[in-house]
Amino acid sequence: MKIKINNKECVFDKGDTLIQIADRNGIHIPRFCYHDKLSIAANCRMCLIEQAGANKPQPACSTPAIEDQEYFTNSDLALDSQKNTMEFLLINHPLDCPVCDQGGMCELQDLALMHGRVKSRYKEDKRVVVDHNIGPLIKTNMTRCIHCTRCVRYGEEIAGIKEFGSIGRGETMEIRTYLTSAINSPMSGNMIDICPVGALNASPSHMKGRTWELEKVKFISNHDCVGSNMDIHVLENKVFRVVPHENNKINEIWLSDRDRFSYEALDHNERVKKPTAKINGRHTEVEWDQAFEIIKNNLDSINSNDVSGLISANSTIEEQYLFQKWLREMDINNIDYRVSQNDFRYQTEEPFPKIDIPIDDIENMDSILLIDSNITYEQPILSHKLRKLFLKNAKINSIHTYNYTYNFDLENSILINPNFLVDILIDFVEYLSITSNRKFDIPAEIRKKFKGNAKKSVQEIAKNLLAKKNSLILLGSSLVSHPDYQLLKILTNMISIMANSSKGYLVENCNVAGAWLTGCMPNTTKKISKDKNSRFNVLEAINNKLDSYIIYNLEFIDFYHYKELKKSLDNAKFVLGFQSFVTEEEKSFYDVILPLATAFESPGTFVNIENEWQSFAQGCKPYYMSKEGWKILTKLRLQNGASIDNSVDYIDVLNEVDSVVRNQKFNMEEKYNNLVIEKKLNTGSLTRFGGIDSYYIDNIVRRADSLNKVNSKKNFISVNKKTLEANNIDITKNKLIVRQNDNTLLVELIIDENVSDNSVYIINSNKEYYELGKRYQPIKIENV
Amino acid sequence: MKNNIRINELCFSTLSSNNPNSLETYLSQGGYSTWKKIVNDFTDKQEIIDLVVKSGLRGRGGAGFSTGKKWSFINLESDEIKYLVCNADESEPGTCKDRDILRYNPHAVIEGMLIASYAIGANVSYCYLRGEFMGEVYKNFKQALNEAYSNNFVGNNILGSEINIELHDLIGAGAYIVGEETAMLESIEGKKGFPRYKPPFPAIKGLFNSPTIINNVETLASIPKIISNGPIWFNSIGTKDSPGFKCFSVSGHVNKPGNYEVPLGTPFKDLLELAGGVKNNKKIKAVIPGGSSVPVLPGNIIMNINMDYESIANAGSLLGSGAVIIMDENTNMVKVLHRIARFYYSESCGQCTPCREGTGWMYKIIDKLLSGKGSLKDIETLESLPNMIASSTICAFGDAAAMPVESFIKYYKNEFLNYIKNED
Ligand SMILES: Cc1cc2nc3c(=O)[nH]c(=O)nc-3n(C[C@H](O)[C@H](O)[C@H](O)COP(=O)(O)O)c2cc1C
Ligand code: SF4
Ligand code: FES
Repeated sequence: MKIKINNKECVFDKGDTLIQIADRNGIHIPRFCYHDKLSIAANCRMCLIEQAGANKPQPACSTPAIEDQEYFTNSDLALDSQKNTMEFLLINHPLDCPVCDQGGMCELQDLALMHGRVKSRYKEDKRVVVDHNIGPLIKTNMTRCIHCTRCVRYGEEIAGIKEFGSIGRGETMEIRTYLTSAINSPMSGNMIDICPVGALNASPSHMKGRTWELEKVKFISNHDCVGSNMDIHVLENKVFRVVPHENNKINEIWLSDRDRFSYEALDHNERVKKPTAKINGRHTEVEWDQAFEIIKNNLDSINSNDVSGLISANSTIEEQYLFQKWLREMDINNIDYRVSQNDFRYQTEEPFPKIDIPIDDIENMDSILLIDSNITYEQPILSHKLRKLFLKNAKINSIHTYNYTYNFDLENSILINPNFLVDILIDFVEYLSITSNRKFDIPAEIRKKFKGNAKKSVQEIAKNLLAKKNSLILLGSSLVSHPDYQLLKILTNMISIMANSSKGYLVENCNVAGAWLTGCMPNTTKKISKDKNSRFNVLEAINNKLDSYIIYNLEFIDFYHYKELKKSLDNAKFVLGFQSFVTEEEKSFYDVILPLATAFESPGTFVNIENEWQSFAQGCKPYYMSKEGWKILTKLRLQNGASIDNSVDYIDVLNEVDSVVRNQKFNMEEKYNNLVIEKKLNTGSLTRFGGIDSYYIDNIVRRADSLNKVNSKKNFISVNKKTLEANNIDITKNKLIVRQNDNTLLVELIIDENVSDNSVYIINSNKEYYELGKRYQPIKIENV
Repeated sequence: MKNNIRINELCFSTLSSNNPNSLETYLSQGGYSTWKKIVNDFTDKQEIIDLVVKSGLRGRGGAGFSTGKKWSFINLESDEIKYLVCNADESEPGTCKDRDILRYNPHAVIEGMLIASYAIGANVSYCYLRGEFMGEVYKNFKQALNEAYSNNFVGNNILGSEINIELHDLIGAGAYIVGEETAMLESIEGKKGFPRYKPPFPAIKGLFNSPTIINNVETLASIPKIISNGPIWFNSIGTKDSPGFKCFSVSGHVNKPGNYEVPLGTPFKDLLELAGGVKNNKKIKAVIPGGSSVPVLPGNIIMNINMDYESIANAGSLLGSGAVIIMDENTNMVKVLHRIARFYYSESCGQCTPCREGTGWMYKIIDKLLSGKGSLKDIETLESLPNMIASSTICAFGDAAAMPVESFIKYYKNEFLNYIKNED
């Protein structure tokens, strides 16, 4: 079908609106309320254009094209209408762009330049709107609001949490939260971007710089496993703010608040500024060369089998590659990245941490099974994809240990104590073994556990998976610390095969795939390692109390075996840290600390959960004396006499990683042996469970000031009423004592029916919870 | 007064009884016989729609659109759920006819709703009453509805047939804009009363996304007799393009303000006479012939025209909802416009930029003029605003707010100029 716009012939499909057709053909139509990711509101009336023969102007955003019609976007009628709307928009809008944070990147300012009058005819009083505090991330200036309702629609449609609404009528209508309360969505910052004017602003950067002073560098998210694309805006060599960078395969035009605001941690007072070494029991600042020498002397004097190197799955693949290479060149082979993991059984090799389908393909699924995933807060971008599915009527099911808050509705859900997660998955396997027509050789050990009757709810979900063509099973990221994690993965894999579903093992870090690909683990079959001996994984390395530990970009609380780690470090002869941040307590355990640039301050590459490699350039210069990881590791290798060119550059490292790792074919099929089903989690009593607060998951985000003001960091636990009664807790009191082994903590009690029976839900959001003890362990609750 | 004017024969016919709103009165006047016949004969739906088309009935809510034509936009073949909505939000200043129809002849509204629901294939219909009807109006309507339910005129298996029609009453919260049909649909859905952009039109995607017909109280109350007496009867009353009767709410400077149901095409003079003539024998200065949102007409013009859609349109105004507001020679037109502009300023829903901002701007300028602080420039600006608002908004409220301002300045500019002290 065809129409003409400004005499240009344009083709279109039935139902296309005029603005869509014009946009495709590069014809400019001014707009405020229209946004191609949101529903049509047609309220700003900026997009009025002329239809030949019609006496009224037509809103291009909401008017479907009529075949063979002629339209004009620049006729007198169109231009007059646009000019009129602009005049109306400006009468109550402050005309003080020089003192507005949005100045220079304001859609209203831009369009006013083209469509506005030179001088205002409006002499009456202007509207003034009182601002309400909506939390630490968004600074409002609602007097500037033009009522386009983009933010309202964003909340309803995209974030799925209806927090903003329009209150009142006519000129006194206000866009605000319904109750005077803070915004809670983990994707709230996107409202700042879609607001065309300076009404919603990023609080941390508010009034601190001008858009034209900023340099822009593309960056990749370092806090979840999808690798959202973003732009960091740099002012005077510091990250000034972060905004999304469009990538329709991953984050589209959105960004989670965590990715947007974590940069605030970069000048936290726990940043490591200079290399330090323990001299006569006290940490003293040393020069880089001095530090290198101390490291060499110490490592030379220790048996390489007595050293363990542990690296973060949030470090770049270049660092991970060089780290293992440096260590393996010294014949140190006890290397691992799985520090939060607690189960290393069954698999000959750790399965590749991946999702079977591309991230954008999630939108084509019609059935989903979540296994204990707090996905809306842990992986906001993936949750957004699920929300889209939900709006398209796909069925989302969940088995979980806590009724997490999602931004979509569940079709079926099963709430279960974490002790029985394995059992319920076995129920699935059993039910599918009868109903699925896909042949699968179920190991005898699993067959032995069959009970003969699966719960009705299990049957419903299994049927749903079987009935749909495109289904996906996602294993929650916080299960990585579950004592039966490997078993859960094996069972998930079996279910996915029998239900003909795709699957994904969600992970908490941004470059788990990179760590896996570069062989940052012991006993790897990858060519990278020529070592044939059996080596220590992180758990064994800690338990065996080695002489030396090298810890790269990890904090002690990142380790599942937090307390055991501290004991082993205390006992070791030489502890080396490559760290961007270090606490006073951690400092005392180290012999040498090297100041490490964060990912913002270094070029690098992250590999996301779909094995997508995304490289980024250096955002800003490293903090103080800190250096990029690839430089430090290269220096250390040179010092060991590695045959590399002295003038090696980042690009050489990237090329090497490319040729050694990226272009190598890996066997990603899962093989397991010796499948003796032995549930390790079997506390037989009250169990502590719960993931890490999404603003506490890594060393950067947990130091980001504004993010950490979003949720209260008070100590509290959630338990359901039945469990409280069974434990003789006085529920009229709001405080109680929790006990793990010899440690106790006074906490606030939240009686919460979202918690599964016989368990205590703790969101790990401060160090005291780690001092108390581990997750997935027995816990006691006592009256004060 | 002329004795031959036919008055209160259709929607107000029960007023001849002492107990106008009772079921007995309605039945005694042949009420529900049309409905019974339809239910009994299982009349073809298209046949009913055709009858309404032929009758030439035009919507009494304000726009005057052919009712039969509106109904025929519904695709009778589709098995989608369909809805009928009776618009009883009557809030247009000056209009009070629906109130009295609901109060004195509620069964006619119910029977009309039933016939309309049946004709368009709706099994559920809503009567949306303005919040201020909470008192007697709602009480009478609710009582009638209960009687209709208990006599099985409404409900399941109506009068032993297979026909099921639910009829719900709803009370609004007092916003004028909810009278706009798509805002009403939002409100029924439990949302804020914001008009929807069109297309899609309600007959395609209306209430809960389903095909929906919205009609005014008076429109629906006229239906039973149109069906039973036939379109020829209806056509014999009124003019060619404006057949039938129309309720006029006459208010302002007259001796006997009130609702008068007369044939369309009745000369304005006769209507004025019915309303007892101008108070204190003064001259008429101006008349708003169809509710506050239509252009004002000077007395000398309106005195010579008939009250039908075409004649009033030819004179430059609209018949609208039939609210005739009469102003005598002593009326201060600036003050009248000030009052009208304030109404639109406070009732704009606030979605569309031109309406939200423009209604406030117009009001503030008039307010300034009245306080003696205005200038010639202000009048120039005021004159330019209606044209900037009209035709550029989602709903007709923008036009409604613009038309009075435009027409008041057109005819009475001198009065505005009189308020200017300092020329600049
Ligand atoms: C601002 C505005 C207010 C309106 N208020 C009413 C009203 O109070 N009652 C009414 O019947 N129609 C009102 N209408 C007209 C309705 O939108 C609609 O046209 C009417 O209910 C259709 O019924 P009819 O075809 O029987 O006239 C209003 C329209 C607008 C634009
Ligand atoms: S014209 Fe006015 S009342 Fe109608 S939708 Fe727009 S803002 Fe609301
Ligand atoms: S962009 Fe079309 S009305 Fe706002």
